[in-house]
Amino acid sequence: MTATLGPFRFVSFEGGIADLAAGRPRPDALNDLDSRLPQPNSLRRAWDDTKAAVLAASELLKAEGLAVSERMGLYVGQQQIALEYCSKFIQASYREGPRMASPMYFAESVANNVATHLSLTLGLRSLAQTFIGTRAAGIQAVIAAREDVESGLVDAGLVVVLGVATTVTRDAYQAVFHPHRRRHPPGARFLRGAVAALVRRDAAGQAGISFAGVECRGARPEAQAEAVRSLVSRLPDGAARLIDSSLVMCRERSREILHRVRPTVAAGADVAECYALDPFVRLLLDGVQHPGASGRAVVCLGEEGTAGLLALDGPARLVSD
Amino acid sequence: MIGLARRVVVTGLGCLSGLGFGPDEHESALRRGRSAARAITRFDTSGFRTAQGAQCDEVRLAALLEERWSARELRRLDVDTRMLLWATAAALEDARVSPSSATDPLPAVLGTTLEGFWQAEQWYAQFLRRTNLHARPSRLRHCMAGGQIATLSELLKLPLEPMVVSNACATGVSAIGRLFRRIRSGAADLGLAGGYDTLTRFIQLGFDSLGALSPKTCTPFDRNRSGFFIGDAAGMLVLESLESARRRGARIRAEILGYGESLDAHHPTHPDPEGKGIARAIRQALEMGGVPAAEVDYVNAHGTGTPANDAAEAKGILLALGDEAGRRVPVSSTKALVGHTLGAAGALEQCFCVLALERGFLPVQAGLETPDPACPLNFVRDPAGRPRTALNNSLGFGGANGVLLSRRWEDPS
Repeated sequence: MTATLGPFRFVSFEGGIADLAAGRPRPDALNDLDSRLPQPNSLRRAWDDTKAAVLAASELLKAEGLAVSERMGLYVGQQQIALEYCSKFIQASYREGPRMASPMYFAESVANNVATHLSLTLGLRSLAQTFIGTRAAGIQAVIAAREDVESGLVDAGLVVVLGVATTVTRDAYQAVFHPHRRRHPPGARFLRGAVAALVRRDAAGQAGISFAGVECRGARPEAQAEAVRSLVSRLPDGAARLIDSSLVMCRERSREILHRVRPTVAAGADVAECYALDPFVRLLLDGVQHPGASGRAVVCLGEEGTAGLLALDGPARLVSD
Repeated sequence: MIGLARRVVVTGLGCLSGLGFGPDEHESALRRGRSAARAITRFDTSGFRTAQGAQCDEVRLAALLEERWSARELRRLDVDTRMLLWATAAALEDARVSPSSATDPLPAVLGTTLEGFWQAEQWYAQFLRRTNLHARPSRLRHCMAGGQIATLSELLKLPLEPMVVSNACATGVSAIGRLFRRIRSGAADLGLAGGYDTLTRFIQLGFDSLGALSPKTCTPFDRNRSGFFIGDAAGMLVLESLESARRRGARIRAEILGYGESLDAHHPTHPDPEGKGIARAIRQALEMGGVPAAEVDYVNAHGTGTPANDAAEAKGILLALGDEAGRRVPVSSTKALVGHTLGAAGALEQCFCVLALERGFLPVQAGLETPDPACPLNFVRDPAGRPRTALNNSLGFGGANGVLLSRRWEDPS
């Protein structure tokens, strides 16, 4: 029995994978976001990134003709918690006083709010787990879904991964990576969007998950290189292409680390930063650019020291617009 | 290849909260019903509706950590990371797992709702007040769980296979449940699981704005209950297969028999008032463990002390266990003592269940004066008891429910 991953439904505020592959972003891609949602009214207070995640998941299930059942688990991966609402809540508490901060901002700031909206909108009642805190959070979601499918706990795992970018994350990352350029920080481009995919047993036409793992051996470059080396050593022989997914703002460090271990390819080299979503965007872009049947893997380097690896035995299949 | 279900045992505990450090200090408070609630000193609470919480003793925490690590190594660690580090080191030591001997990465399923939010909040407050020019980026080093994991790995000299779960207030049990299932299915032999979270200004104000914090004290299941207080905590457990524990000659503290998980799909912040979601999770845990409802000897309830939660949970317990067993089984919510510790809650409460099973006592229900007729359960008034089987319930925002079922370890030999 092989656990498969796919198909994928990708939505972003800059267009689909074909748009990104062609280097022609479409900033109007989700102008009709609300009208495409299954229950727009119940999501009226949700953040746009959450809505994009619900859209990706609902369109995936519709395209696959799958009904939600008690045997479907939900696995959400996002690097940051919902900072937009956290920052609104904190700002209001400082500027207008502690009692003036809206509880709505707080409720929407809870890290599992995407899973909450997915559960409420799609009627998911079995289990939902949200993975956070690292660039490999989406890979952790795939690992969890695979474990539950393989153990027979669920028949299908609905994996939803978000690329979340806010003014807070932009400012925070720039403060960390460009501490001496605070007056004139370099511009940072972010890609906001979501991908939904299914983990199942031997689903016809979908790529098999040949390896998925996350490791951490410390924060220093040599420790991260060791983690990458350990993961890559467990790659099956068929994974000929190793795709690089690392933070744009510390790519030099990542390249240096990867250079010590194994050469990588840079699918969609100019894709904007999208954190936990990035490894999936790279896999999908690689599938468009190299549609052959051979295996491929994406290696993901978290800026804090974690390393993740997701290997498929073929290209990731995409549900298109 | 994943094989047949294996038995999973707890061989290490590391717990800290406002009540103290380690199993012994907690046991004493659980027996006597001593609350850790105090006036909050970590941040300015002027203008807040409620200003009490259960902070851990940071001075003592620092002293305990300095017994093992240098001041330089600990210098930049915030309170979240320090709590996590201490609890993890204590659990590994308790299980006699030597970090330096490990070469393969150790599975570590950590639960948190806030990661290192205390530090992120400090940075953001500076940023808002003084502009970015004065915000110290060093504050951000540990604000993401990934950074905290890297610190753990570095200071413990332990390669980790990390997973960070965040399922609102059901986070702690979700983390333990995930590792339990992984070991049970044969995908891992031994690992760490648990949760941690810290009392921060953001979280205090957030629950305050929802009207969930009590202006007086936390009295779960009482007719006049008015909410909870927030507490710092970290609870870490070493879980392993029975074969692994026997092979290592490890002391077994308890066995985990089952885990259930469900979603209410009812409301973003309110539980299903009929308790159907938590009832499903309880039934799943019992079914997985092969334990009839009548054999449950203790329930550590989520019991936040809010009107909606306690009534829904009581209904769920009665629904899952049946009227007779549900009204008979001793129930208590230890949140009356440690506060609501968010991502740590389920893990800390699992430590309490393990202690209750291993040492033969029932954690008392503190603060209860007039039981709410809507919660017709048998609340623990006297710690005397020798439970053999315990349920640990957690309910979180988004209708996330998780339940762990554990049993006292009785060595057949």
